[in-house]
Amino acid sequence: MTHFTFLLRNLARRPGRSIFTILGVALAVAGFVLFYGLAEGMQQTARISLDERDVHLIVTKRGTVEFFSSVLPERLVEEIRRVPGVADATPELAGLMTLGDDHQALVAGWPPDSFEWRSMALAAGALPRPGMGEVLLGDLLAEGLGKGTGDEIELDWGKVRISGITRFTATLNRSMVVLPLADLQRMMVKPGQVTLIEVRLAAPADAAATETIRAAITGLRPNLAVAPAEDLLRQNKSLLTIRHAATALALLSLVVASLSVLNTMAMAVEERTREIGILAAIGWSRRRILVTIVAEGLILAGVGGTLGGGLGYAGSFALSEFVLPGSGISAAAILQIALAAGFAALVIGSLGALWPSWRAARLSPATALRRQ
Amino acid sequence: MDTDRPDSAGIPSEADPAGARPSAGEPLVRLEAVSRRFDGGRIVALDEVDLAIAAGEIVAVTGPSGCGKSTLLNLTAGLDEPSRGTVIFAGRRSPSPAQWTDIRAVRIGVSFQDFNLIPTLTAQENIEVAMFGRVAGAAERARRALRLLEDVGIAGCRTRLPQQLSGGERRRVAIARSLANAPDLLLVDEPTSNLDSASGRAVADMLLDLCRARAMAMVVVTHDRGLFERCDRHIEMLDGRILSDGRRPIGVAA
Repeated sequence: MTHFTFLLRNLARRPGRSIFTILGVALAVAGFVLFYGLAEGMQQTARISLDERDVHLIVTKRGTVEFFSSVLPERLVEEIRRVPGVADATPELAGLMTLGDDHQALVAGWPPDSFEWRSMALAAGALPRPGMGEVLLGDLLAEGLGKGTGDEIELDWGKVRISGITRFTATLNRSMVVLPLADLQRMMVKPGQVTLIEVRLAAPADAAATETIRAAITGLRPNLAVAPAEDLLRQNKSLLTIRHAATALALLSLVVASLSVLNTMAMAVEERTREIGILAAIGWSRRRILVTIVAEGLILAGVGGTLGGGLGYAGSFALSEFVLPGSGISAAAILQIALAAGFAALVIGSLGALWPSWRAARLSPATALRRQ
Repeated sequence: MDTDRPDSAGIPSEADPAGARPSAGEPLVRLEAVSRRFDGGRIVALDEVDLAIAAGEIVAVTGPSGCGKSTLLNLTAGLDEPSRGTVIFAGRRSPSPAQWTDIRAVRIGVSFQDFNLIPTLTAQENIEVAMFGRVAGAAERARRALRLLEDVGIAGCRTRLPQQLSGGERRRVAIARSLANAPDLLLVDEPTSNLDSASGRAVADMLLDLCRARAMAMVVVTHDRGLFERCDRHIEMLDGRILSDGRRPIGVAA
């Protein structure tokens, strides 16, 4: 018999309790993966979306609580284009609009000279013509709506015609509606206004040059926020609050998992006090007793963490694929979070088992043997 | 890391954490004016007891219930600490709890009155568990445990759980476990209690044979007159004190 077999026998003597503890840890870890994945997903979706479109800096109005409430004058783009080191810049008006029956989608408007049109790939059809009530649909959205080129859709108050289907790889882009800026400004009653300005840099890898350009753009007007594309959502206060709440829930899940292991191991030590005395009487050192109890906690946490990581991975994947398409995080990133959560479960499992094992190791053999 | 017991029998060694190894006849364990009180001193379990056990000596302790016999065993094994007095094991005065752990792991085997087998482990595994950290490799532990079960005559029961064993078989497993690390001193509490006379006699025979064959000292607490008289030295206790301490007359068969 190996020491590991001995540990498994101990856990198997109360199979119900061990299974429920494992399930408790699994659910907590799955919760962590889901909540944290959701928070990360928002961030990552936006970053991937901008990465794909080769956007390096985003200019918004500083201090906006909600992302879409940022308002900038469209003509600001000309001043930004003149900043040394800026390769190109384009304004974007963005918003959430209702499509047909309660289907919400991100809608973006770009001017005719935007680099976005030039670098865009189409899966079908043609670019929308300004003033013709035409839009482009992301392929994922088109598929979800069951629409194709030439079909009409209802966009907030009016009908528009689908001139083409875009072919992006980022989920957010694949779920986006794009139309000429002037058309969208008219629809949203925001003439001359945009939500943000996207900036392409001549040397995006040069961190020092990027910082100089950021400072230069920030100095153009008061209340401008200039952030690298990956920080776009990080600076948004409402999303930041959601992100913090999701992270707090995720951490709370892990604390619950730790307490679950602690409770189980404390009960196990209480029930097996006499056996711990026997082990001490036959020459087991305090260290060996401590390691045994901690290892039992680790096994529970490890199995629960693995199961929870898998559940969380499947749940996050299902969420982004079927429930909230476009909200998601990449499978690789979910896997990374699931692995991190599994590892965290191991750490908290051992922390949860530490106190009971410390108590067990401190017991005097004679006292332990007197217990029934 | 698992390690085998150092092969240093009879050779005093500073490196041996369990103390030096005395030759036959030399004191293995000594209790000097040892007292043990409980409940804030109101209950006196052991009162100023002086006792020396030599290597290879077979000592029987008897006395009425509550006279301090089990407390004497617990203190001799370092399972409990004296309220006053000193316990010296193999020249080591008042070993620390960690030193007692080392001593129990390789020098002392303890067999309890109510067996104290681990219910989820088979007979063989109950013996193997005593070798963790001392004998490297699961296969070697299994081999040695099986050999011990053969020595106590129940190799056929090796895969049975304690609840599937008779009282006599459980006693034999407990004794085999106490021999797992080839100790110098065996401490046995009431080995024949709860056994029928034939089983009791067989267990007593086995214990005495094992001790003599291995030149192993034994302190056996017993109410069994037959076993008591077959030991080399007889101690009677009353109210926490040693009432008499005598040796079996030479020429009287064990």
